[in-house]
Amino acid sequence: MNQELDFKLQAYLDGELSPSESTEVATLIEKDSAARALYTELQQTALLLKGNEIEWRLPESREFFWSKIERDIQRCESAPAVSSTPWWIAFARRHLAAVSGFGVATALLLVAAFQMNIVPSNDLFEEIENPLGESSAFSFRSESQGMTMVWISNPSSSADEEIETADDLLQ
Amino acid sequence: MASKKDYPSMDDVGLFKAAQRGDMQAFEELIARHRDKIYARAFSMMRNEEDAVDLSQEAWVKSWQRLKQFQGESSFLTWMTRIVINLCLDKLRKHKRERAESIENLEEESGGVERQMPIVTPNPTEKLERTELRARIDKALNQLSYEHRTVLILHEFEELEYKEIAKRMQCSIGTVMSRLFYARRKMAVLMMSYRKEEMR
Repeated sequence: MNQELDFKLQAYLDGELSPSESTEVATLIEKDSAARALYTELQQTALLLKGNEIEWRLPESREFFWSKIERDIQRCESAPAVSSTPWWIAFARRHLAAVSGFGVATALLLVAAFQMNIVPSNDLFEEIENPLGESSAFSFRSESQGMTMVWISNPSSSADEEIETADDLLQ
Repeated sequence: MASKKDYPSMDDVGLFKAAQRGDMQAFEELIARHRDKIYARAFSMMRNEEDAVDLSQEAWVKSWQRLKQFQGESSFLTWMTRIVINLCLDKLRKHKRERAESIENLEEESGGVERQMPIVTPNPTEKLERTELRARIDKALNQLSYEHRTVLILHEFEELEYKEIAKRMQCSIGTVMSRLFYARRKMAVLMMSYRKEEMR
């Protein structure tokens, strides 16, 4: 027997065939011993199962099971309902949430860093500045005038000022 | 509203209508009445106590949320059973996606070993204690693949037609016929083998 016939025998047993097909299969079962044997096996198996399912019992007490269900129901009902938020707010929430979160986190980090003096500020630069680092000094001795002049150049002062100062001193 | 002591004497329809109006005590009485049957269906499909408890609990919560949708076209228990079956099928599909295809599933396409099995005739009138018979049937069901077991449960115990099973299992009617055929054949062979084991 082929698979199609096997399935037809089963469909006949389950009442899933049209009246004409049912007549056809009934004739086959009557005439063909192999078809009859298979049909009997399927029929007996179906009969064996009918009404013979184990009746499993819930392994929890009535009160405990109900308490879990009640809690779930209350949780679902207390959850906020979907609001009618305008689309642009929803869009901003959806697409800018991550960016704004990152922005807030960065701002907090910067504030914390400034508080802890991790990030250098202008004041800090001034504190660590060494005014003698880039300065230079020249000395001048005039034997005729009996004068010694020391010329200290300060990078914070302009060159012109330095020259003027020197001129003044020379005069 | 009825007082609490009246709930056990009310029928399902009365309890259901009260629950539809938001009466949680009526709903609790419905649960107490049918919780074992709903759990049993979940367990027969999942074969796992933890999953069965969780899914039956989820089914009851879902039914509370959908009480207003139920128009009484079937009994309350039938409606509840459909809910738990759908949840089990969803869970089983998820499990299946997570695991590799079994050899059994591959064999299903060609008929596998079931096509080669000799025809046997399990005798339903065999003098077995009903409890013993049920235990054997359960043992045999446990040996089937979940696809074969599910189609057998839905057809033999829930008495669903091929079309309805196909819809719920999201497969063709041909697949349902094939699965049911080989599931029955395998059951027949397993039941006979248990009998032979006992006679030794």
